[in-house]
Amino acid sequence: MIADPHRNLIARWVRAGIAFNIGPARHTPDLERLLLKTVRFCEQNSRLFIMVATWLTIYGTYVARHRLKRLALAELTADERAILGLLLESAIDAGATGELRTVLEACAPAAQPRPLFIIDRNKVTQPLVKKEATAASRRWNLWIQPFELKRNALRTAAWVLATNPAWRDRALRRGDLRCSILESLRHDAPAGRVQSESQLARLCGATRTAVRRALDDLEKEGHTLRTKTRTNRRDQAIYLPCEKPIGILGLKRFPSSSG
Amino acid sequence: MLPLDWRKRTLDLGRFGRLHVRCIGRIDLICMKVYSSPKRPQDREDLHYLKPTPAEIKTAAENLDRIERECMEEGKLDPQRKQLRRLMEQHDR
Repeated sequence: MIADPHRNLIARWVRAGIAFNIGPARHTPDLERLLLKTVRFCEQNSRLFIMVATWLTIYGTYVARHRLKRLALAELTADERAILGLLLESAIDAGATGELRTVLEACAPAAQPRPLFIIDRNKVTQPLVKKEATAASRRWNLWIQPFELKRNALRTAAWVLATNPAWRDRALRRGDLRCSILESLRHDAPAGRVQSESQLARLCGATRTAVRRALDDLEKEGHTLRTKTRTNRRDQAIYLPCEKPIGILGLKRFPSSSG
Repeated sequence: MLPLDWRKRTLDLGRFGRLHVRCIGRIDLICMKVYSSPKRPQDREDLHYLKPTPAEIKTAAENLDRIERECMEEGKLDPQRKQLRRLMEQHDR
């Protein structure tokens, strides 16, 4: 039951490891932007909400949390951020990493209490959904009934990483600030380059001090991202040295992906 | 929770290695989704897209009557009946 305009979105989740009955997207998705698109669409598709919540319980550590928080603030409406909040909290309640709570700081409950799914906004279903709404959904003013996770409809980690080798970096760094730095340079910075740590901090949604420490950590892993053309470290340009994903030192580097 | 004789209405999907796959018929799918619709938003959405005809809605209602007679307390399937009434209203519109 997948409406045509949203096939691309669903195909990207298939590529991410959810077994919907269409083919996968050609490229590895930009995970944080995929979550934003999902949030905009899931009011119309409860199955997608349930499957993405399930996916997050297993693969939530792949999400670059600081970047997702920054993108949510920059690109989602207040109501859409409420949906993101409910999605993440439902996933955390079901076993996803509690580190995703970082993103909840950017979210607030919906202004008007209502059923999350459009199909439930009618006089027959609304009272039923309101009565049976989960505690988390009441907090976000977006009622949903308790749902069953569908873990058997997810691909294994081996499949997900073989299909999306660029995500190995995410898996190893558990979506921490290093991950947000690399993904922001890869997807948000023109030509993978920013002019200063401050600019990178704004791009990642973190403080400059935290970004500097994370860059130091990346250097300890063997990845020099800062140029050495200027004396003032604060003004050093920071760039993604190649199109390839950056692996942890000593591990195999994988081919590029985009999309 | 499927209507009686659902096996006779299954459709052949083909052979996949040693598996011979069949799927349930449309009316049986509708009846199954009506039964679980009060608890599952995805089934409510599927029913919306399936657009059951009045005849199919009537068959689903009869199936609920049968289930209630056979194994349930009276009134237990009222939420399902409300969904059916809503589907009929949608159809009339």
